[in-house]
Amino acid sequence: MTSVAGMRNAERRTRTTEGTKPFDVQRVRADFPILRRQVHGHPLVYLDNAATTQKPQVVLDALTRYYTDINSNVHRGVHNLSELATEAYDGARTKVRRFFNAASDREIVFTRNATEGINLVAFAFIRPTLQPGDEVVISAMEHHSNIVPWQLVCEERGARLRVLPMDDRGELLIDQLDALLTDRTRIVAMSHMSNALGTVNPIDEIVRIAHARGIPVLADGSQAAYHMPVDVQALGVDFYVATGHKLYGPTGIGVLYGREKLLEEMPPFLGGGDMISSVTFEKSTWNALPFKFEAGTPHIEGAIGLGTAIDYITGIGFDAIGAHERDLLEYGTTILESVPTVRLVGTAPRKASILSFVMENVHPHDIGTIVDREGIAIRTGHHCAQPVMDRFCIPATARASLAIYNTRAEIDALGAALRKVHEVFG
Amino acid sequence: MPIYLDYHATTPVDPRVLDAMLPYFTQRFGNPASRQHSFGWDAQKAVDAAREQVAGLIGASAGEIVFTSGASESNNLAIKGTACALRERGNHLITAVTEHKSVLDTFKRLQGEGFDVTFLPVDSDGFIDLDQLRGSLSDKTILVSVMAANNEIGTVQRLNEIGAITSARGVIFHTDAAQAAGKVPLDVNAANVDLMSLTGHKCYGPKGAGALFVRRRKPKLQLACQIDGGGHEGGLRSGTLNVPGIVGLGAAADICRSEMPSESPRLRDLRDRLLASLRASLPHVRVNGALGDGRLPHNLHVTFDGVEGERLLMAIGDLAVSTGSACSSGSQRASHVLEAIGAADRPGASIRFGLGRWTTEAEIDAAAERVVKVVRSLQVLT
Amino acid sequence: MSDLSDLYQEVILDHNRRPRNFRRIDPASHHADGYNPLCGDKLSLTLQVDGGSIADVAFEGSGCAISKASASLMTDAVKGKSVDEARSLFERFHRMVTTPPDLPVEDMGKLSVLAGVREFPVRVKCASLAWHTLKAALDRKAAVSTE
Ligand SMILES: Cc1ncc(COP(=O)(O)O)c(C=O)c1O
Ligand SMILES: Cc1ncc(COP(=O)(O)O)c(C=O)c1O
Repeated sequence: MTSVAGMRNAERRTRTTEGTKPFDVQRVRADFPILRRQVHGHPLVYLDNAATTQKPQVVLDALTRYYTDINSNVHRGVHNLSELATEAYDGARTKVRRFFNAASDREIVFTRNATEGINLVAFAFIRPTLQPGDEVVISAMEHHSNIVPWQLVCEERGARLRVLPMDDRGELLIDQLDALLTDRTRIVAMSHMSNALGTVNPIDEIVRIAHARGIPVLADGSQAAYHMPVDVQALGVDFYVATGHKLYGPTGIGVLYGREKLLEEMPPFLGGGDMISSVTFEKSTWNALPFKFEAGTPHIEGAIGLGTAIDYITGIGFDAIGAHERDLLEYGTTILESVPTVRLVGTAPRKASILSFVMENVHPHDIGTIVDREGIAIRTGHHCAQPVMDRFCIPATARASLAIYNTRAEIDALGAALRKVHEVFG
Repeated sequence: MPIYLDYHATTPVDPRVLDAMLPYFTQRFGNPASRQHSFGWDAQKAVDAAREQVAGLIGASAGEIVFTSGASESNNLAIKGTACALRERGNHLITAVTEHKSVLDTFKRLQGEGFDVTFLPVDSDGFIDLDQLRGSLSDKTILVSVMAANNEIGTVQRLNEIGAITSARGVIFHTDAAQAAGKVPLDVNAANVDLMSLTGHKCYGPKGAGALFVRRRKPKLQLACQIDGGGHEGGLRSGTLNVPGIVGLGAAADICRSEMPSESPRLRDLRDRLLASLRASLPHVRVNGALGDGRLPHNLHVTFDGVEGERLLMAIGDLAVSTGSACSSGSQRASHVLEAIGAADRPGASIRFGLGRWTTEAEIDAAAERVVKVVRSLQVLT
Repeated sequence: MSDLSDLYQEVILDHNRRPRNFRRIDPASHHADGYNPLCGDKLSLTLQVDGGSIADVAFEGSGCAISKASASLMTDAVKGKSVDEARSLFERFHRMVTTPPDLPVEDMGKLSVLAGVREFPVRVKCASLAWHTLKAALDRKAAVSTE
C-alpha cells in the first residue's frame, strides 16, 4: 500500500523537456516587469489575460526606442528619420503577415483594434450592397464587437441578423449552420475562440460550409491569436481580425487580414491622408492596398510594438505556449472543480485558456472583490457577451484567463482564494 | 570542556527562560483549571501570556495554540486527530520520506489501520517536488504533512507554495516545525498552514513542553483528541497544564522572535565559516542538503569520502556532534534522510553540526581543526 | 482580510442571504427599476405611498451581496417614514458612501455597515443602486442606471 509517488525529480525534469524547446515559465515571467509588483500586499496574480495581456520589456523598449531614435511620420518625408520610421512600420506589417501566413503585405491592414477591423468589413464590404431581406450570420457566443457592427448595418438596410446556436457545453451546433445559410446570406462572422467560454471554433469547417454556397467568412481572432498558431490561408477565411493588446503588444493597434481581391473591390472606410494617390476637389483616386484603408497618420509605434511582440511570441513558439497553457487549463479545471459550489461555464471539448465559472449563492462581483484582496486579478461580469450569459441563464460569470506567464502556483492561489469566498458566503 | 555542536538534538535552557519558569514551581504553583481562587487565576494568566508569546512567533492568534508535551505529541495529535476526524471524507494521506520518526511512524500506524499513505520522495537537496505533490492530491486526500525544516540536513521546505497547493484543494496542511521554529521566520497565514507542531527544547525552552497550532476557521477545523479527560485545551488535549513548562515555552518563543533578526545571520556566518575551513583543508567534503535560503542557518551536514563512519565517531572525541553514517558496507545503516537524498550510495562518514546561541567563533575554529585532523588521519589510513 | 470583513459584515451577509421585503407590491403607487451595467445588478422597487408617508416598500431582482443587502436594509429603513424623511436619508446615505475612507462619517445606525464600501470604490455603485432607484421612484422616473 505504500506508494512512493512517481520517480526521482531529476528524471522528471529531463523527461518533460525532452523533444520540444525547454520552456521555463520563470524566465518568461522575468520578461514582464509588471509581474514583479504587489497588489494589496500580495504578489500580483494576473488572470485577466482575455481582457488584455501584460507587455514584455522588449515591447516597452521598442516603443521607447521609436520615440528616442526614429520618431517621424511615415510614407511622407524624404529625410532619413522618415525613411527609418517607414521601414520600421512596414517591417512590422511584414511580421504580422508572416505571423498569420497571409499571401502578401497588401492583405494586412492596421486598425485601432479588432472592433475597428470588424466595423471596417461591415461598413466597407457589406453595407454598400446590403439589401433589405439580406442576412448576416453570427454565432451565439460572439463578443459585442462582433454583434453590434452587423446590427448597425442590418438595421439601416432592413437586413436580418441570424444566430447559430450552441449547446450547454458552449460548443457551436455546426450541423445547423448549413440550414441557416440562404442565398440572402451575405457573410458569416464568427469568433475563432470565445472570450467568455474559451471554446475554440472550427473555423476551417465553417469556411467549408459557407464557401460551398459562395458566402465569405470573417473570423474574430482576438482571443485565438495569442493562444494558437493562425494560418489564414489554411483556414481559408476571407477576413480575419486581431487586436494588438492581447498579443502582448500595445493598445490602439489592431490587424485586419482581408483577401486581396476583396479588399481591392471595397471602397475606403475612412477618408484622409495616406489613403489616396491623388486628390482634386472633384475626385480622389485611392492609394494601393493596404494604404487605402489606413487614413491619416497611423499608430506607428503601436505597429512597431506589435511587430516586436510577435517576434517575442514566435521566439517562444506556439508549441511551448500551447503545451504550457494546456497544462494550466487542465490543472485549473481540476482545482476549480474541487472548490465547493463552483460550476464551470464553458466546457466544450475544444477549448483554450479560459476558466469561466459561477459559485452558488455568490454573485461574481463579490467573488472578484474578495480575490482581488488576495492580489488576484480576474474578470467578473458579462465579458461583453451578454447573449452568452442569457444563453446560460446567468447574470454574469467570474473568469480566470491564462497566458504564457501564468503558473500552477497562481492557480493554487486562485483556488485558495475561492475557498475563502466560500467560507465568507458559506 | 567538550564543544557542543548538537543543537538539533536539544538546546540548553536559556537562563532568561529559566528565570521566568522558576516561580511557577514554587510560589505560583496554581492549577489554571482552578477557577475559584487567585492561585488558579494567576496560573491561568501566565498560561494566557505564554499562549500569546507562542502565537506571536508564528503569526497565529492565541486561541489557536494547544499546549502539549512536545513535537512528538503534537505530530501525533495533528495527524491521528485529522485522520480520525475526517475519515468519512477520505482515507488518503500524504507525507514525505524525510520526516521525523514521530511523523513517519504515525503514518505507518495509520497505514496499518487502512489509510492510504503516499510518501513523497525528495530531490538531492531534500525538497519535495511541488508538481508531484499536486499530482498526488485526489478527492480522497484529507491531509498533507510536510516538515518545515529537516532535523538532519536542515532543508527548509517551501511552505508557502505547499500551503497554496493544499488550500487550493481544501486539504489540511500540517507541518512539523520542531526544528524551524525560532530559527527561520514562520507565518501560518502566509503559508496557509492549518496545523503546526512546536517544541520547547529545540529553541532554548524546557523539555516536555510543546504546542500545536490549530487554525481557527470557518467551518471549524476538525480534530479528534488523542488524550481524553478533563477537557483541557478546548477538549483537544486533556491533562493538567504543565504551567512552568508552558511559561518557559512562551519565554523561549518570545526571545527567539525578538533575536532572530540578528541571531540567524550570525549563525549563518559561523556555519559558512565552518564549511569554508573544512573545504580549505580537506579534499572531498560533500554538503548534504541545500545551501542558501533552503537550509536552516545553523545547520551543516557533510560527508567525508573515504572515511569509515564508526571510526570517525570514535576518533572525534570531545566534539559533541551527531554522526549519520553513509557507510554502505559496514554495520551502521544510513539514515533514512541520507538514503532519500541519494547520499547513502557512496561510502563515507557524515557529521551533522548544529550551531546555537552560545556557539562562538573560537569554538567553530577549534571544531574545524579537530575534524580536519581526524578526517585526514582516517583518510590516510584507508 | 480586515478590510474585507469590513465590507462583508455579518449583517450584510445576512441581508444578502435573507433579504427583507423581497417581493412586489401590486398595485403600487410608485415604482422604478434600477440597473448597474457594470455587474449586471438589476432591481425593481415598488412602493405604496399614502398621504406623504411610505406605507410599504419592497424590492425584487438579482445582484451582488452588496446591492442586495443595501436594498434590503433600505426598505427596512424607509418603511413608515415620510417621503421627505426618505429623501433626506438618501442624501445622508449618499454622503456616507461617497466620503473618502479616511474621513469620519455620520453614524446611520444599521445603514452604517455599508460605510465599508468606501474602501472599495467600484462597489460604491452597488451600495447606492437601491437608493438611486428609490429616488427615481419618488421622482416618478421609471428607470435608473448607475452608469
Ligand atoms: C472575442 C473578442 N472579440 C473582440 C474583442 C474586442 O477587442 P478590441 O476591444 O481590442 O477591439 C475582444 C476583446 O475584448 C474579444 O475577446
Ligand atoms: C523534526 C522533528 N520533529 C519532531 C521532533 C520531536 O520533538 P520532541 O522531542 O519535542 O517530541 C524532533 C526532535 O527530535 C524533530 O527534530
